[in-house]
Amino acid sequence: MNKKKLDNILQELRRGTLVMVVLINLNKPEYGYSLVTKLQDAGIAIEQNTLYPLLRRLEKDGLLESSWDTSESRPRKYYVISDDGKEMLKIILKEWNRSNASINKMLEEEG
Amino acid sequence: MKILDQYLYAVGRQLKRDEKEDIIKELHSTILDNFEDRYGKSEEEEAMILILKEFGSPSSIAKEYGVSRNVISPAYVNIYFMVLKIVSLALLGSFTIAAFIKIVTEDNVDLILQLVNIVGNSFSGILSSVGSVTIVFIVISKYWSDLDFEDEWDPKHLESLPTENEKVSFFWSCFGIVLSVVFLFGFNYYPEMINIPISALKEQGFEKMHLINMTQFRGYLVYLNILWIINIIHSILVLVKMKVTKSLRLMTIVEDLASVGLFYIMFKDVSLYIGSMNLMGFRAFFLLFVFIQSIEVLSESIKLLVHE
Repeated sequence: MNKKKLDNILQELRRGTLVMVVLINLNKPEYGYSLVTKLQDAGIAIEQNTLYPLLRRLEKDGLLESSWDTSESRPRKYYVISDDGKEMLKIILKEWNRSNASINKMLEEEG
Repeated sequence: MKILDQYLYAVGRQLKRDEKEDIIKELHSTILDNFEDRYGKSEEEEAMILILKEFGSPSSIAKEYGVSRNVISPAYVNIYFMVLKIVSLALLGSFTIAAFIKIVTEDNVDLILQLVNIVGNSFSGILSSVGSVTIVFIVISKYWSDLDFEDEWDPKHLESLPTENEKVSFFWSCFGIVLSVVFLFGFNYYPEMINIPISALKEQGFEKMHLINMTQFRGYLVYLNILWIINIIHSILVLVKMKVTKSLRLMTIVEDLASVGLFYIMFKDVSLYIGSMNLMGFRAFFLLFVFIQSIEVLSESIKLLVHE
């Protein structure tokens, strides 16, 4: 098995679900690194240099809201899902469940 | 930590100006969160190098933030557009001023024709400048770029931050470009304007002042053009590097020495002047310029020695 190709395919698969995973996990405000550890604890490996730009892009698209917390020694930027983001997540999850059901059905038929 | 500052500086150079501050602030805080989580309050540089390697090279980080790779290095794109704006505005300004001088000083000038001239000259000037500036930036990107997309990227090779002695005056670099562009296009499109202030003064009664012999001046214009073009390229290089490196300082000295030489020859060349050979007029100006440039050469040479 070509490990490099497999890695690429798995990476693509993870990237495809990344937006959904991030939106699900930002019901409460999180800063970049806390989100990384939260995802890692949940078993989702993510490259940091992919996550932080993604957060900014989602914020630009209006799916996340951000604010700087300067009360601690180090200022941190917190992100939380916006109302538009919640609406979008509902649609994404619906599509995810539909795809998932279709794939499971296919596997059952094949199996 | 010095290595972290160097890293953030290298990333910041490649980001869009309006987003740079916020991204760098967030990146700084995130990298330190990572570092503290793994190494506590340690100040170990080697540990930070490991973290930075995981984050990836400055160019790959900038790429993730939407800066793409193209013929002009992402690190220089902001400066490129800024130089284009400066050059275009300087051209528009210089052609407008040249037309204004013509309207004020010459009789029976057709205003509509002058307006058409401003638009036409500015358009062709801007077009050729855009081409020239783009070529300069492509060459700089190809031969003088510090792109670091390769997998073996090592934070130890990050460029050092500019010292006090190496810091660049953003304003003066831009001003240098504006002045050179105005002179370059102004004197080539309308060389006679050099005599306008003296002619005006002569009419006011300063009859002992001399004028410039245009035939001789056109001969010198070739060398002046070379100096102005080199000055524009030099200012672009300074803006691109955002610090005065040893080679750039050496370039300044060579440029200034060439200016001193050229203006001294112009000062001594009696055939360049019409009328009295006293110091009232351009001769005094050229001598003053030689004096100022000589001081600049001295000052830059001292800075170069300090650099050493």
